[in-house]
Amino acid sequence: MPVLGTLDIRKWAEGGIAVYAGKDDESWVLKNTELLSLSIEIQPQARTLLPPGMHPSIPLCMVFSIARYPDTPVGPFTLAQGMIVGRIGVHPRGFALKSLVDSETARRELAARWGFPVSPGEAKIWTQYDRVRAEVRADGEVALACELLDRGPIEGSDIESLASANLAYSRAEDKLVLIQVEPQYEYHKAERGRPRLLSFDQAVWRTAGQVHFAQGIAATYAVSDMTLPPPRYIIDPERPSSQMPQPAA
Amino acid sequence: MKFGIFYEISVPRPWSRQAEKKVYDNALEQVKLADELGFEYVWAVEHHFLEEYSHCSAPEVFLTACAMVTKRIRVGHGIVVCLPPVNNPVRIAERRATMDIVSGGRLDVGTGRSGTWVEMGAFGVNPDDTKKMWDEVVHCLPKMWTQEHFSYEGRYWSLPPRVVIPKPYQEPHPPLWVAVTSPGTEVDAGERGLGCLGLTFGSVAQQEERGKTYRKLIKNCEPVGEFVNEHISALNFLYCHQDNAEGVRTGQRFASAFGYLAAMLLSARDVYPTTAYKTAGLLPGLRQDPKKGSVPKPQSASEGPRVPESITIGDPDRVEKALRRWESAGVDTVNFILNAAETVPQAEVLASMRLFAKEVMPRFQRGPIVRPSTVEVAAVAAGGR
Repeated sequence: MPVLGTLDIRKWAEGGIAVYAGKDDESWVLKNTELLSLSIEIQPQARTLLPPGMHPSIPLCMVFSIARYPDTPVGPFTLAQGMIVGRIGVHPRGFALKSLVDSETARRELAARWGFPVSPGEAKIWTQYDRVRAEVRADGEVALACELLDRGPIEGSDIESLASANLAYSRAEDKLVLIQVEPQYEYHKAERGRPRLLSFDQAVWRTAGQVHFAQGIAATYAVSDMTLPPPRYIIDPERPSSQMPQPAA
Repeated sequence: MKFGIFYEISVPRPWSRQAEKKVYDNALEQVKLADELGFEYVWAVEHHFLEEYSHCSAPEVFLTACAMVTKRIRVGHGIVVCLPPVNNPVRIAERRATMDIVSGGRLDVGTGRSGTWVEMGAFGVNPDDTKKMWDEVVHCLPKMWTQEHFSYEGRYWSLPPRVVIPKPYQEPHPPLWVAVTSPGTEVDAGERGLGCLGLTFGSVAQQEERGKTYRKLIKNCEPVGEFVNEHISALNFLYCHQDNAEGVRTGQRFASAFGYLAAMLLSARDVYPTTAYKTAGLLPGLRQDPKKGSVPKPQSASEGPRVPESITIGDPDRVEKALRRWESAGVDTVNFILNAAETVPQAEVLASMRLFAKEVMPRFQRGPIVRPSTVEVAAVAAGGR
């Protein structure tokens, strides 16, 4: 049986999670989204940061995504996310540790509709001839600084987007839930390069010294129209949604 | 149609030294039985670091053991990872030649390039380069086996003039295959005169389409070896039981376990966007909707089993029907996964093999065991491509 996460979700919730308001049929269309994403392998002990309903990916890795949304139903905002990559059943999902958002309205809506674990923070993305750089700040301090080096064009269809799994308190169900958020992208432009992490504040991302980076995998930079549909699946964070059949006795 | 058995060697947690040995012992017992029952191939993969899913990192050792306990079954290295950072091509040629000698000329060689980030990331392989690396290696292997002196200077590996020894027992060399997972690899296989070693659970319709392309291309191929190995094999799960419902239920259980373990692995495509991997290999078939796909998924008790008709599990009639579908799609060999993560007790696996051999095998016309069709081609000048 594959390993499962061991995060104490109640203790984690005490540190601040979203209050999920319940199902809403409305999708958001976020036009001309700029998204820098980095995949980095991390040491396996960070699986303690995954809830018991998720399996860690093999090898374990972390994805940072830094996005600028210029055209949204709540006006422009930026969003920076840190996710530990795992599996819910057989499906790849990123457990969202923290989402830093620079607009109060966006924070409120993202938390209530999709359960994003939002906090105030600002993200900036710079494109240069040989790299794309991002810096994320919380309380005025650098929470994350990273780069995509050696930019090269790719097809948008080559990018496998990762759905996030957001731990939130469901008001309707009066319990903790894991909300799966599955954005869809229509790419206008896509690039790939090498990831480089320049700065990472464990306290801001709530990793408590558990994340140790092993090796970079890839970075992508894309411009797209993104759709954020209503959550399709809301699951129990403490139990796997499906189980592998047990071996014979 | 020919039949083979196929091993990933999956070992479920919790692990113990005894558990791994038990899985290998069980596999060897199955191979011995397969030899007696008339299965024609035993294949074993080469994978590294694929926790639980495949503890088969030294298949040449396992397959040599298979050859030592059998008399006639062919041993297939399926596949050897043809990436110089993982396996130096000289070592591939040497080891395979030795296996061919000790098995008495019973070796088939499947070639491939890996599909997981787990493996590529560990060996420092750039996913963009794997097809080109494979191509270099697959062109060199037959020459190392047939030329007295061999030298090569390529983009991904080089060798000054050397006598690569030993030479394989089979003349001119063992049959060569390529793992066909990503769409388009059937083109590579056809153009190079290689057998198509199907390693995914795609649909029969997909297989038929790809088989047609392959058969068309191989007619005018430029073989990398000294003969054309025109064959299409497919991979399937086998659990045969007199009671159809029981057969389907048990087969479905281990097939689900197989898919579950595979899904934990980061494929190259999951994390490294590249045109070199248009699909995630095995994984898409395992993750798709069972109504549309070909791999059974765990179902709730109330739903009952929903198993694609092309999966060879159930009673002998159902298994035969599934095989006929593959046969009509141009597949000439089906290799079976017999168990996964020891989900099915060993005695039941052996019983399933016996029932299949007794009731299903005779329904398919089988010729004598012959080496894949050989078409002599001009020897290629020394010094590589």
